[in-house]
Amino acid sequence: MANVEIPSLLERHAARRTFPLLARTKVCRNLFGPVDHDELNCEMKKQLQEISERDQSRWNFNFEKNLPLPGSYEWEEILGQSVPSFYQDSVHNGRVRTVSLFNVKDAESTSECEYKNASALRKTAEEVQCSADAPDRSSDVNQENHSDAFNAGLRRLSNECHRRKRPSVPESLRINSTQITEFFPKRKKTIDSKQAECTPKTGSSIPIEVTPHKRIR
Amino acid sequence: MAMTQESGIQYEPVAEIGGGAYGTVYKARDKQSGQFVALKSVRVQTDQEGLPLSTVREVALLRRLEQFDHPNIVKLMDVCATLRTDQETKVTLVFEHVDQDLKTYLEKAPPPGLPVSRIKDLMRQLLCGLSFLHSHRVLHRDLKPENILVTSRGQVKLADFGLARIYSCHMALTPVVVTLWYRSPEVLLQSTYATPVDIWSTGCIFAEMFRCKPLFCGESEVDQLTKIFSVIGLPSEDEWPTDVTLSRQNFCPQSPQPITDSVPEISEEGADLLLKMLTFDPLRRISALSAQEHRFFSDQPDNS
Repeated sequence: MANVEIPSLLERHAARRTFPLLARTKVCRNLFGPVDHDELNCEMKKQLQEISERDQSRWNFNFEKNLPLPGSYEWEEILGQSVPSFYQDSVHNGRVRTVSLFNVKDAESTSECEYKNASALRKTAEEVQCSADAPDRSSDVNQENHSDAFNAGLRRLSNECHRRKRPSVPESLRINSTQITEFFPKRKKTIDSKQAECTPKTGSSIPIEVTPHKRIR
Repeated sequence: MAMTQESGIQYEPVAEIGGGAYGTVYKARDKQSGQFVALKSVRVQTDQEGLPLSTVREVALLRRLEQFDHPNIVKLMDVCATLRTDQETKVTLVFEHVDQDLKTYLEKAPPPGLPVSRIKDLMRQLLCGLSFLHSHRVLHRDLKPENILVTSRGQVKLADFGLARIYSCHMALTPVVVTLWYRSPEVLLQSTYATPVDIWSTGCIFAEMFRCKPLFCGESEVDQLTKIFSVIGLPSEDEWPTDVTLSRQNFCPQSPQPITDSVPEISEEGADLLLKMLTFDPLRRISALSAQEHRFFSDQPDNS
């Protein structure tokens, strides 16, 4: 019984792992022909360039070089002290570049106002301590704090996000597959028969998908 | 700089961090409308997948909020992205320019402090902006006098929400999001938090408007909590959140002190509102919407 269950589970896991790649599964079809990535890249760059040019002419400001141009806006470069600290580019310090972990999708960002997980917060306690030790008394000290906080955040995230991302994917997929199949008895039939092929004697080790199907019938 | 000149070879400039302690800011006047704008740029690391999704979402959120054209939210005029290198994108945000923030505004207030009528007006606007954000499921999380802008005509505009997220892309769970002095107990205790954190900060700012100096100036999380409890009293055992590491036993038992000891200038209605904002339990803390309806704001003739 146990050795029947394990291969079927493995198979499902394997299928799931390849699912996002859409390459090695049998059901995968290339509907739109091959993609020329270079061409696409070129096209995107061109479009970005166009957008940038539009921005530049709209504001008569070269955002790339940070240079004002002649036009309807009269630009002046002023000292940060003379404007509210909010306008300061508080991240413009070189240390940022040493950290490169922006490649992870942030699951939290959409649910900004949702309750945050306390345990996740606790993991970062050490970093908080170092950045919180210096209270901000004035706006310039405050800025220091900002960049510290920023880096602390980054450092932590490298672990955090990788840890988060991995388990979350198969989890959601598993949930989805169970629920969807419940609503598609026809499709489940094929799964069912497939399952029967590779696991002749299912017995009590019926995969999760199959159970609701039987209940429906 | 002086060092470089003196020792010659010992140091070489690595990178310019900005013009001194402060960087420079680009500001412009629209010749047609006379309106002022200012740029704030943010560098974002990118990879093959381009701009991080979180940044894209955040910008989308800022733009969506912009469509409501709320009077108490700083206007975001444009978002311009430029590819700097393959690894870095510069996102420049074009904001309306406001001359001063609440910090400067309070500093500039003549000795007796702000008149109550002015405080009422500022608070009304602040709460209005805040309940707008909250109703759109946006937490500010870093409300402090520095990012509350006050126009020359006395209009309050909230700034900097969501932006912290773009700076770092991932400040989501970092407890450093709220400046220590305006941090709520639940953030200090690293418990779960939501919109009530902004109300706590608003309460601290409210008190500061009367005092012209910050209410709780803690030097560390524990110190901040100690300072808080010295005013609101140590919460009871059943009020203490269960999901935190810092135990209640770390603090000495204290009973609540009259809020007028800390904020002597405050009126009776003001004190009532302040206490409702500085309630330890986030679930029992007043909401931005209810606070707007508090009797402190009801139109009674002010004596100032």
